[in-house]
Amino acid sequence: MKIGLANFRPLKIKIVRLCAATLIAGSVLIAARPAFAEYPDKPYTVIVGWAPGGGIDTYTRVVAKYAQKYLGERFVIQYKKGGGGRLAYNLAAKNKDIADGYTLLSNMMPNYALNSLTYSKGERGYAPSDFVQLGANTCVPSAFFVTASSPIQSAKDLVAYARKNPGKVTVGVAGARSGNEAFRLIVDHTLGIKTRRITYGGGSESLKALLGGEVMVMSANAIWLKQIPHEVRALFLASDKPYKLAPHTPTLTQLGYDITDCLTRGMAVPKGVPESRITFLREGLTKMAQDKAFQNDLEKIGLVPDWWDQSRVQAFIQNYIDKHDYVFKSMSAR
Amino acid sequence: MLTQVLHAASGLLDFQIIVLIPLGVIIGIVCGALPGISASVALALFLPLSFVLAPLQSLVFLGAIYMAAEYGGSISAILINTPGTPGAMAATFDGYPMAREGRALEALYASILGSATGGILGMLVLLFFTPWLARLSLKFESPEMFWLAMAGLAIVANLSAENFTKGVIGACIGLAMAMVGQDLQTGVNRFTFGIVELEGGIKLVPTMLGLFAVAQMLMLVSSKLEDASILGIGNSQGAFWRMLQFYVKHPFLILRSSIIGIVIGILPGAGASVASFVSYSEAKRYSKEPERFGKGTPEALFAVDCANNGMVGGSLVPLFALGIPGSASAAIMLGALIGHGITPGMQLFMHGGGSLVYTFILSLIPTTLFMLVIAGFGARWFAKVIDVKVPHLVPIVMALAIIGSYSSNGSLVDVFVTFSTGLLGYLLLSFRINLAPVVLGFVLGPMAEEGLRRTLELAPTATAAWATLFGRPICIILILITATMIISAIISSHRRRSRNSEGAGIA
Repeated sequence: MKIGLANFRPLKIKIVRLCAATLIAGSVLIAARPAFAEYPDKPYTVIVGWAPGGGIDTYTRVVAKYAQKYLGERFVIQYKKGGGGRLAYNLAAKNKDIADGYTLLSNMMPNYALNSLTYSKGERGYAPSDFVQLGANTCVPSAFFVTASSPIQSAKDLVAYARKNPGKVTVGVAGARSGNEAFRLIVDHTLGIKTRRITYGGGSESLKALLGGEVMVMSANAIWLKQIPHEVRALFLASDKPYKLAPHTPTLTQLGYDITDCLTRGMAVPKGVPESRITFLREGLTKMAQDKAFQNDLEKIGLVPDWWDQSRVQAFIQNYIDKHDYVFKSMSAR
Repeated sequence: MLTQVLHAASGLLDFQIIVLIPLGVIIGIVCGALPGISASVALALFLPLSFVLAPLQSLVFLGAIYMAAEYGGSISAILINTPGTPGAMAATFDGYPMAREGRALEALYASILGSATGGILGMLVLLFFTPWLARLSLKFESPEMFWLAMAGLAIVANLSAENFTKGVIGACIGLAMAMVGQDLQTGVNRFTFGIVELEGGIKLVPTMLGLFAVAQMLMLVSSKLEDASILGIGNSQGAFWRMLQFYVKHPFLILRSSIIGIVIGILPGAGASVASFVSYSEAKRYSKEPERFGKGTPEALFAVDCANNGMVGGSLVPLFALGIPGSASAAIMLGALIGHGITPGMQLFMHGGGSLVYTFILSLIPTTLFMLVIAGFGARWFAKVIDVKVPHLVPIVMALAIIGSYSSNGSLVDVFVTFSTGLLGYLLLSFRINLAPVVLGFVLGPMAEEGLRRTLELAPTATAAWATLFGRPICIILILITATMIISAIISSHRRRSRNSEGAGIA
């Protein structure tokens, strides 16, 4: 039995060819993979411009819980705290590499506009047009709070007291260019009173000052009614209809003033993300907003689920800028 | 409170915590024993790492490192006459002579018994005193916060610095660093030089890594450390029992030294080195045989180690109650609190809260016990650590510092901050300016500024502003403390100068 190698020559060549073909095909497949790969194929980075544990962070964590199900990948939350959210927007606007649909920002209107437009041209940083809105899950009404034992118990008391003692009403706000401060200016303007701004670094500091008696009033949003209902009471809310979590608190519209004001909790991406990816994210978030369990989780942290699509968010902020010229002027003057 | 504490104790039965305490203790002892790595360096290095843990676990881990590092410093002080941590400086005076007499084991046992006692007593003060002080902190409004920061800076400048002027210079440098970033009241950017990342201010974690880890390593590289020869531990029979007898026979020494450590710990910024020196000199003053001091008496070691471990608990009291760190190491623990979004003060104890703080405080009991056990049996093995050479140590610490600084916020600017603060720290150390006032200035700067400016915002007229700043009772107490610190510093420097000139006259 003599089996020469020569006899198997054709087979050998075949094997070599087969191997080569497989290799080539394989490498073509690998090279082509990104084109075929489904977006998303890696976790999202979500930038939170506020402190961990704060209001925006707790909201983001609820969205993160449902991200895998509706957006196909999980969220990795990154904190870039500073300047009342401004730092995160500035960093994201500057970095062109992250406009790939994998970086999202937790967004709060109207702080988003205030943080840019109230600065002089040279210091402005990002422009509101640097980001594309995906939508908002809720808009929390702004409110004026007093302590439960305060002699001022209603909007009427506040106006009467403030007119008799001009400049004596101190209002705690979280940040000099925040939505809270804007709301204080709006209330002053519409109710025809003059209050004094006392600035704090954040909502919890401002609350501590109210409870400790350092300030008479706190300008904040309705979440506190859910979180510490016994210690504080709201004089009024700035929503057009009674707020679901505090149905007995009067709204400014009920009191005869034409003010609605709220702070959104939403998501945005930097400008330049491919249109198809933006659509994917918007559709995912819209579907998530309909999920009953998601809505329950939002209510647990004091947010009333109310999905706003991007056009409504856009209209809200445009209307806000158009209507509150005096707010922007007053803040820019500082 | 008792039910709360009992409830908190059950929090210790957590798998992670059971693993983290021994780990932290071992890391702490090893780092503490290494000359050049003090408790603050060890904490700064492990702070970024601890952010992957939940808040409680992270605090327990760092607490174990802190406690064990303050003990570990004495090991090298005894065996190679080089203190592993600044707090162990005074342990060299008697520890090394004892080791040379072949009583190294006795010295090591004295040191661990003292450390454990100080640690436990400090923990008890922390447990009972903090909620009380936190409740008091509700009375602290903006003007009080301003004066509290001022008093803190005056105390640290007086106690921790070689002279008051240098302390004030250090504090001012810290205050200047705290100015960087967006102005809270107006939103204007200060000293950011167009760097977006600086708008949020200079971050605490990268700064700590720079000032402690990087600056320390530069100091190590530039100083000529002689190759220390480690003295043999020897095999003295019954050393532990002799020390235990000594311990039982000197309850007042133990108690006094621990209390000195705890009280000095509570004072802002005055860390282990101040505590142990004061305790050493007091022990000598009250001793029946003061002439033995400096020649190798266990009395001295008990005094030093009770104090520098008592300091640990004490330094955390103002941290949890007021947000003011009692030592440079506690300032790094503050970084952990901030990083986890925990605001110090009464909020920690309100709304049925407090279990986090109580569980952390109670975790110092198993930490101390584990330290006692592991050091009691393993002293001779930990001595091996001292063999690590500077050329090996420096690159490791530097690499850890850079990784830690980058990972704390994912920003390269933070790494530059670490390098620049490292260089700054090195420069300051070479001018013999202590870093504790710098750190305190940096931490207390925003508190002082916000307090003062908010007081002015709140006052309707200028007269009212003066009245609130200087008229409120707590303010007056704090002003008196500040004034006492400044005046006593001036008097003592005047005395020193006149003593020097007298000396010159005689010569």
